Amino acid sequence: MLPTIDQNYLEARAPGSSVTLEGGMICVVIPAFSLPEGFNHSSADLLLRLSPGYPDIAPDMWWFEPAVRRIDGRLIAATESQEVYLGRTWQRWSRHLNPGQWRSGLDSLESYLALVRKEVAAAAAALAA
Amino acid sequence: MDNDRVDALRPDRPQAFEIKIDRTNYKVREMVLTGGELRRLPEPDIGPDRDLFEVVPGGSDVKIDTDTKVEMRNGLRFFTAPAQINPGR
Repeated sequence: MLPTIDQNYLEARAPGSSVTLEGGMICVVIPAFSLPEGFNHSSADLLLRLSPGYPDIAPDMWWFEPAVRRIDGRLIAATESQEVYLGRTWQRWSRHLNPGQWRSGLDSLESYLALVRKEVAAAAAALAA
Repeated sequence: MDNDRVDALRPDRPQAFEIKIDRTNYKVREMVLTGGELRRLPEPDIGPDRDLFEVVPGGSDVKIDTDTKVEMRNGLRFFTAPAQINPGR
């Protein structure tokens, strides 16, 4: 279901990950994805839902379970929706790449997860001061 | 210090280091490269729309800023990623 480069990445860097098909989408679950300080959890399971056209088609959004919230109570933009996948209720982080940002043949789960980490860190830090 | 002087001081120093950026291998002679110099290795250059990361085996990937100095060694691997993503519905 996933390119070899992504399979190898998950084996090496995200042991315990699962890859399943649901509703025609490739669901990648990374358990206990580490979160920076400032949230109500130090880790949460991360769900990526990849279109069948991946990696030619960019990933879109990601989901956490349990829901990740700032400990200071401030809302995180575009994280209010909850959706059920794989029999679990996930908090959706609605984040979208612009056309052309994703480079098929260059980008992979490694680069997308780097972006997820960066965005999550920004959400933890924003307005914290 | 230029590479010739470094070679004289460290005769055991490799003549070149094999590194990887994204899916392409490069040979570099410099002992240290900045993020900016690493960004100029690919053709075309890595633009500001992408972040550059050094892979740290067993650890967290490190974002390499333009002025960050990285000591070269064989097998170093870097990758790029989109620099931003937009919140939305």
